Amino acid sequence: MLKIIGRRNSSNVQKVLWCCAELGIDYEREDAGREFGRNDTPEFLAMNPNGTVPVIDDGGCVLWESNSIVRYLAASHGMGTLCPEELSARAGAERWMDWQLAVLGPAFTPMFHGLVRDPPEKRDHAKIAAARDNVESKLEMLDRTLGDSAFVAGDGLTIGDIPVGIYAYRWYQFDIERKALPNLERWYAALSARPAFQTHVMVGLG
Amino acid sequence: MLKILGRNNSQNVQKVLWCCAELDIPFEREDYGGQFGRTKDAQYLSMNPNSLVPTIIEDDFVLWESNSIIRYLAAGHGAGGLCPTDLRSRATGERWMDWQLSVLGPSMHPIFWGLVRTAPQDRDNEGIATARDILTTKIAMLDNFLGRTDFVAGASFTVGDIPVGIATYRWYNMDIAREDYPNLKRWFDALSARPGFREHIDIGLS
Repeated sequence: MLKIIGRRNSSNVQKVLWCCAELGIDYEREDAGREFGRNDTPEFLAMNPNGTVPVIDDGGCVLWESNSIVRYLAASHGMGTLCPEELSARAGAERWMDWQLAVLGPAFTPMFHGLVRDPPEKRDHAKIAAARDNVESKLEMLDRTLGDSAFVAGDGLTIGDIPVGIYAYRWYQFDIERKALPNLERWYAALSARPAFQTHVMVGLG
Repeated sequence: MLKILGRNNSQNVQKVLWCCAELDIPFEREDYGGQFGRTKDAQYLSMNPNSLVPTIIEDDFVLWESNSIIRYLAAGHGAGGLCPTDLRSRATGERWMDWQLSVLGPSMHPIFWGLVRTAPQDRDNEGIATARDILTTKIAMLDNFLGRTDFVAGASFTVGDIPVGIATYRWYNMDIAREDYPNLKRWFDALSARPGFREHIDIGLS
C-alpha cells in the first residue's frame, strides 16, 4: 500500500492526500514534521535530504517534492482525468503547479508566517499588508484565467488545480481584506463542494 | 516553427533552448526581458500575465513556466528518452526540477544577483557570503544523490537534468569559494560535453 509520510496540516502533504482521495488511491499515512518531529532523523534524511514533508514510499520507490508526487500519482492512476492525456492540455495544467512553487507560494510566505506562525505581539503589520497586496495581485491573474474556463486547465479538475486550490483555502481563511474576484470565488466554491477537498484541505490553518 | 520569447542569458530561457537542441527542435527566438524589456507590453501580458520569460508559441498554443515547457517538449519529442516512459524514473528526475524552483533557485538568487548583476561598489558582500554557505548545503545534497546515479533520473540524461545543470553552471562560474563535490563534477563534465549545453549554456554569465 502507498505510504505517505507527513503531517496532515502541511499544505504540501495536503496536495498528495487530496490527489489520492480524488483518484481513490488507498494509502497509509504517518505523521512527521513540525510538532511531530522525525524529519531531522538520519533515517528520514536518508529518504529526503531536505528534511521536508511529504515523502511517499510506493512499493520501494521513495519520492519527495509534492508536485512531482502528484504528477506521478495522476499519471499512474488518473490518466485522462486528473492528468490530461493531450500534451498541451497537460502542460497547461502543469504550469500552475510550477507557478505555485515559484510565484504564489513565495508571495504567501510572509503573510502566512505573520498571521499564523508569529505570535500577535511579534507581527510586522506593514510586512503582512505588503504581502497581502502581492498575493492579491497574483490571485487577480488567476481570476482572469478562470474567466475563460471552469478550472485552471479546462472543464474538469486537474493536477493544475491542486496546489493553487490549497492556497485558495488559506486565502479565504485569513482575517484580511479581500477584493471581490468572482471567477476565483466560483472556482473555489466548486472545489469546496468536493468531499476530497473538504476532508483533506479544509482542516483549519496549522 | 516554435517561437521562443526571451533573452538568451536568462536561466529559464536557457532551459528551453538547451532542451530544443537536445531534441533537434527548430525554433526562432526573440529577445524579451532584462535590458530588452517588452515584457510589460499589453501584447506580451496577454500571452504571459506574469510578465516573465520564457514564453513559447507553437501554432496557437502559448505556454509559460520553463519547467512545464521543457516537460511538454520532452513528452512530445523525446518520449522514452528525454522523457522517461517509466513513471518512477520520470518522477525521480522531475523532483529535481521542482527542487530547482523551490530550493536551489532561491538559494542561488542572492549570490547571482549580488555578484553578476550588481556593481562591485553596491554589493552586500557579507550577505553574499552567508548565502553562499547556505547554497553549498543544497549543492551537497545534489552531489550526494549523484553518487548513486549517473544522471538525476537514472542511467541516461533526461529533462530532469536541465534546470539543475544550468544552476550548476552558475555554481562553477560565479566568483565564489567552492568545496569539492566529485559526483557533481563528474555529472557536470558529462553535461558540459553535450553540444546543446555548449551552444546555449556555456556562454558566460550576464
